[in-house]
Amino acid sequence: MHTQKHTTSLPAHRYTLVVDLDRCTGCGACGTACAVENNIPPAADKATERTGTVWMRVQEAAAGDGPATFVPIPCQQCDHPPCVDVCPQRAIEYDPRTGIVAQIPVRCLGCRYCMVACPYHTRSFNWWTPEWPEGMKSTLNPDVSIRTRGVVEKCNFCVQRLQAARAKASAAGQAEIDPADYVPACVEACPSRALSFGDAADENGEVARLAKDPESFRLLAGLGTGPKVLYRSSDPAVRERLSRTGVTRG
Amino acid sequence: MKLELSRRDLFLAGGGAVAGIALSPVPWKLLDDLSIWTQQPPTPTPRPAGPLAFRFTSCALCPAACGLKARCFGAQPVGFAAVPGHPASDGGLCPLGLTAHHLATHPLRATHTERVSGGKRERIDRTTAVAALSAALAACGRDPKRSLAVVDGRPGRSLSRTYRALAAATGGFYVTPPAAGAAHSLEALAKRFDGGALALGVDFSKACRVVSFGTPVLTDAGTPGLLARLRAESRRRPAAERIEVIQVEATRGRTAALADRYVPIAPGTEAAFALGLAHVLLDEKLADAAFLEARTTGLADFASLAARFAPALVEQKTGVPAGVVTALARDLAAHRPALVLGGDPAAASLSGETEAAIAALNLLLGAPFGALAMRGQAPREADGDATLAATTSLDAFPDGSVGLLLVDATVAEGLVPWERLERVLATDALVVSFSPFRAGLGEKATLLIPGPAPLEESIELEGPADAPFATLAFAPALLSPPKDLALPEGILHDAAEAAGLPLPSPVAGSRLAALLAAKRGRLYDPVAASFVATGDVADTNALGELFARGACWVDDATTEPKGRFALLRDGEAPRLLEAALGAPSALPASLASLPRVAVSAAPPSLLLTKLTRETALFNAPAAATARA
Amino acid sequence: MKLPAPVSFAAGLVPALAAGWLLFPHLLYRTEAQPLPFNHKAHTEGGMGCADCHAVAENGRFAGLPTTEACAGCHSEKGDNAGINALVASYVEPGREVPWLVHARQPDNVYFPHAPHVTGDKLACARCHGPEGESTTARAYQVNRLSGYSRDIWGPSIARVGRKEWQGMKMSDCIQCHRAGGRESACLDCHK
Repeated sequence: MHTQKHTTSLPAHRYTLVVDLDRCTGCGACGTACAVENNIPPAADKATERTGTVWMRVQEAAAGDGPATFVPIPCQQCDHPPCVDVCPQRAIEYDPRTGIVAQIPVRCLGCRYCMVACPYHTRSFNWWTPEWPEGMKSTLNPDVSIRTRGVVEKCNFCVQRLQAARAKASAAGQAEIDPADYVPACVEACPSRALSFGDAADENGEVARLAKDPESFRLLAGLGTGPKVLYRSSDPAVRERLSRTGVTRG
Repeated sequence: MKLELSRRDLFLAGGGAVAGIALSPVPWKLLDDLSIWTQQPPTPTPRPAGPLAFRFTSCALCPAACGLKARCFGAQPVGFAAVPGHPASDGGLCPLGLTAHHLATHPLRATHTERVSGGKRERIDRTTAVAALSAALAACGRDPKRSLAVVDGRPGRSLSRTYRALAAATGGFYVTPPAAGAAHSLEALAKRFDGGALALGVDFSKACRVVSFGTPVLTDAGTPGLLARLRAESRRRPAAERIEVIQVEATRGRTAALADRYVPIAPGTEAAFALGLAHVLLDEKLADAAFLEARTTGLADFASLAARFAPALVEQKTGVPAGVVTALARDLAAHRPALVLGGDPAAASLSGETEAAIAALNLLLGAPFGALAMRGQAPREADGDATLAATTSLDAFPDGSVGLLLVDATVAEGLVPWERLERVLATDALVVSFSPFRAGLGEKATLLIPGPAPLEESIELEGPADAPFATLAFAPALLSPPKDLALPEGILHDAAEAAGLPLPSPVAGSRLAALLAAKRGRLYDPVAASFVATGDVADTNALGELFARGACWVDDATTEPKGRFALLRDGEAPRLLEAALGAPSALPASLASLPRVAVSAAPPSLLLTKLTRETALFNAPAAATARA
Repeated sequence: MKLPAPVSFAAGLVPALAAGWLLFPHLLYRTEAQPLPFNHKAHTEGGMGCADCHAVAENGRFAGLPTTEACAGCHSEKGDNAGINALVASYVEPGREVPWLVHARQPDNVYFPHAPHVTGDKLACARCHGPEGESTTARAYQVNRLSGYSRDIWGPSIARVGRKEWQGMKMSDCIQCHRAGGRESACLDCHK
């Protein structure tokens, strides 16, 4: 299955997450909100940092000389995603209309080649069947389907919220969504407002402005993956180090 | 003619069958259906339990009282978001609040009255529970050596009045946990004021330098994320206006790791360090002379005390280089407003002497009525004619004197350790807990009368004691409690009546009436995302409706009172000197654990194992370990 | 007498074909009854339209099947209609939802938003759901024993021949209409 150009006249979007590292304290609210929104189960008994299912990783960056830096790392939604190229099942698709890299777990056969290909280590494999205590099942989110054991999953920028925003726009007879209706769960939860979200294709928007700001950078910028997560830091040492090395997992 | 069938016929027929099946829908349909079958996970994705709606309430799991925006399908919340602009939290939220909707079905949740006898836990019915409670109440009334003690984690509610009435009727004690962390050290400062009762709150938005002696200001203390956000916002301003956080503590915790400066210090030597800073401020004439002149007493005595703590001596005592002490003092003076906080709510309180030194430092820096704002209290119902016990503390009555201990659901074991409560119990005392969980203090009770779980009842919720403005919400319920759940207030009334101690019935809406009558403050309506002045609310019905949609009342600014702070109280100087010069007492470091779990009366959701097992952000939560 | 090869072959072929084309569809589906004998025509004759019970809300979500509360708006008491009496006795009074067997039920990972189709493109309900509004009783529910979904998803014909445009709700059916209208989609437009 391959993407084809969309033939109606909707302009393309490039949804981008902006992460202000000056504000992140590593509290874990973003990861928790993500797990609640996307029906990610509690940790299996044997789960570790490497084997757990975590769509929004928050890690302490390797220590420099200054204060600690905590870095939230979701799927970087690359414009040139290495994972799409390697998937034998075409279970991953880059949507040119939104820039979102779609992970379709029901197509996945669990080879984990995409996890090898991803330089940001933001993909998780379901080593164990996702299980919830009986009482927690009624609190699950109906808007996100539950995955089986044996498939890879990852952040998709809370696309269910984009779907809901589109349905709302259709019901109101509008061609475009209201940007205030599409806010991922992590962004809504961050208590220090380290996360913000927007459309980089909007030339007058905040994201486009921040993308040109000298304090903004991207992880592993030299690899050419074209990540759509924009990091910001007022510390030049942090910017230089992280854009060069990224953050390893576990 | 006889039919001769051979193997060839069999093979041909077999081949025909295979061809027939292949030319039929069977293999193709089976493939399609089986692949659909394999895609169904053991846990089906739930259907929406009703139409989508957003509801507002407040989180009552820890003292921060953050606003919550709940995403609900029908009556079922499935997730939460922060509420920017909320007077208590301004967009703050933490992993505990984000998973609050899991707690009603937590495995440790209890929905029936239980008694522990002979080491075994057994379910009993409401009548038996009331009988046991009333027998114990009657006994308390009769025997002065076995009194009633009630521990209430959230005073000011209508249930609190019931507790106070009960304590008064039996000659018992009504206890509220002491303030924790920074609130405790601020109370110590406020007590030095001679102009009447004073309450101080921390206004980070007015601070340029924040010195913290162990208070996790960037992480677990106060509104989540607030100081981190304010500091980050200030970084893009000119250098002189940037907020900096200086963390002074023996073990490098998360706030120390994030702070602009971390000052490692020998444990228990905070008083010496604070006096060292005071020494430099006074010696180099960097203290806020105008404030000291107008608002303090005892400067001369304090100055002579501080004179002993030259940086060299401080280095000897604390391990902090003399140059660091001097530089920090100069930096604080040059970047006012500066404020000093001390104490970790999840660990033991600082000693009185350390708090005295911190208070003095705040006074030298002129912090009160600036970054340390004067605040009021949310209006409460007047006591009126009712006979209600006054608030006291656990230290006010002798060990082994309590025959009946009532522990409210709002008491966190991290703030009131079981070891401390155990001391006051007489032999064979009855310990009753109203917690909905068989966890923390609920697990230690001999009689568990579980109340509603978080989000199952409307909660009268005042904001934190160290917030710059008093807030009050009547956080609406989002879930329905189990049908046959016995409410603690009802059980108490029945038991009291049976014991011959009739209690006044609570009057509905009386706190709303008190709020309206006070004519102060304004209400934030999260649905409209705007404020309405209390004076503009028509009546208690309208006020009740506002609160029922998640509104939060916030106080007005209070005018500065006249009066002075005592730099040193009577007889304090020698004690302070001894404590600062003497051998340091090692303070137990608080164990890194899930934020705020220690100060919450509820166990964390099982989903938070994702944070403890699947990240390196936190150590696994230890049992509540605050020590008296 | 020895059988000629084609006859032996046919002896296998014909029963297999019959089994595959006739017996297999019969065995593959199990029939279940709907909980109540709902008469659409009786409701539409009274002047109601599809959207009176199956509406797209302001937030774009589709109401799906009406709740018991919605039905109770008109049918809260027993009368002389057996169906209404069953509704009141078994569902309205105890406050239970009717466990309808939904023909259009799709797998969990399918996201179908009614709003862009109904409000946006103004597709008639009958285009995908057939002349349901004219039915006088709730059709028996034929459920695929393996996949658990209604026969309506595949369509009545096992070979998918002679289908009317509303018969069949497989992904390929959606894609066919999308391509015809020049509306190619990305995976996450229709999956969640």
